[in-house]
Amino acid sequence: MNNITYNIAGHTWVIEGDVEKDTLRSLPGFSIFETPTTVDLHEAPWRLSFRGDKASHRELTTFWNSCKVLYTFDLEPKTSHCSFGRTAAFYGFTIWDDNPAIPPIIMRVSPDGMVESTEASQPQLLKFALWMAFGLIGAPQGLLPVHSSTIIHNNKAVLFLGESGTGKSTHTALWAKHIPSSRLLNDDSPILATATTGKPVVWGSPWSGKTHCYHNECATIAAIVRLSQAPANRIRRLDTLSAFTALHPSCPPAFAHDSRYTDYVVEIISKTVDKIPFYHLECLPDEAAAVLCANTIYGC
Amino acid sequence: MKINNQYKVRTVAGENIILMPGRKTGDMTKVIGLNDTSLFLWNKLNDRDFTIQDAANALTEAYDTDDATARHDAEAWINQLKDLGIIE
Repeated sequence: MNNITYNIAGHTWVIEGDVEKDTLRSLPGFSIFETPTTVDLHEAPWRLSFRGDKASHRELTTFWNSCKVLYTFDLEPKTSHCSFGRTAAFYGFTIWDDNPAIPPIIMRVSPDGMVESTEASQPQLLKFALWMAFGLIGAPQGLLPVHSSTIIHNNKAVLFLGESGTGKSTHTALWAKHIPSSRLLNDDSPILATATTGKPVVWGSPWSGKTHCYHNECATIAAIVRLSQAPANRIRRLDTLSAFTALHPSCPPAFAHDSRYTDYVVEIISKTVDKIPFYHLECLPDEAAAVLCANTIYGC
Repeated sequence: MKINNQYKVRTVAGENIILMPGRKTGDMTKVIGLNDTSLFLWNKLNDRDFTIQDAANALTEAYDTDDATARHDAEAWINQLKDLGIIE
């Protein structure tokens, strides 16, 4: 069988594709989210089918050419790029590399969680394509990848937000080192989950940036902390509007350019801001910063 | 003048906001918070052409305020949103 079934953020996702199955198994992290396939492919609520045949390639290329492009951006490294767009019925995106030997990926996403794709054999592009696809099928279900480094302390999570290079990973490493009972859940893109009832939780994910930190587990969230570099350590609580502006930039940037996906993101942020305290921590990269933060959040 | 209909008011944990995404990579999204009066004017005027006086009249009808203050406040509201490109 050429399917792999994943369980990510509590949701089953069946991925179908010969070439891609092998590539996925070569990516560290995805195996932790693999689960035995017990559901029939055609009954899977979420399904992603990679199609290598020429007819499908033509169909998806035609689809992409009929999309209104909403946003185009570079990946890391900047030799790869992604364009996101939509038609009336579908959302779509294409990922391509400056190297012409690497064929572009085109994915078509339907609102019910079905995704169709051209072949994707290059591991890093495949990984990113799955991240985009997951975001697109997850947001309507209250799931959102959030750019953050996330620790779990005493079974409750803290998400650290900030632009790349601000020092999120440095700070969470200080927690792991100096704050007892702390460990890293994910270092780049955990999944925020706002179920219809109860408090929001955060899940580990197969996407953790350069750090191989893959845990298929969730925790309720104690706090969300925006970090910035400063000559001294100071932490303060954020009001609703500031909390929103702290979290919004850490959500998938492409979604801000589509009204419906902005609605999903705003709803998810709204539920989060309503139930979880947000802070802004200005800090040095030192133990005292982690201690100040832990004491403030956990009151210890 | 008119409110550009690509912008809509959304509610986040009880706050009313307008989001203005950046045009290109690296441009930040602007978040504009609307207080109650701002929201009131938005809801009154957002599906039609209006003048400063229309906005001022809406304020005097709904709030206990005189014409001069209403006109002044209406102008301030309009100018802020014009500067942002939300009213055109």
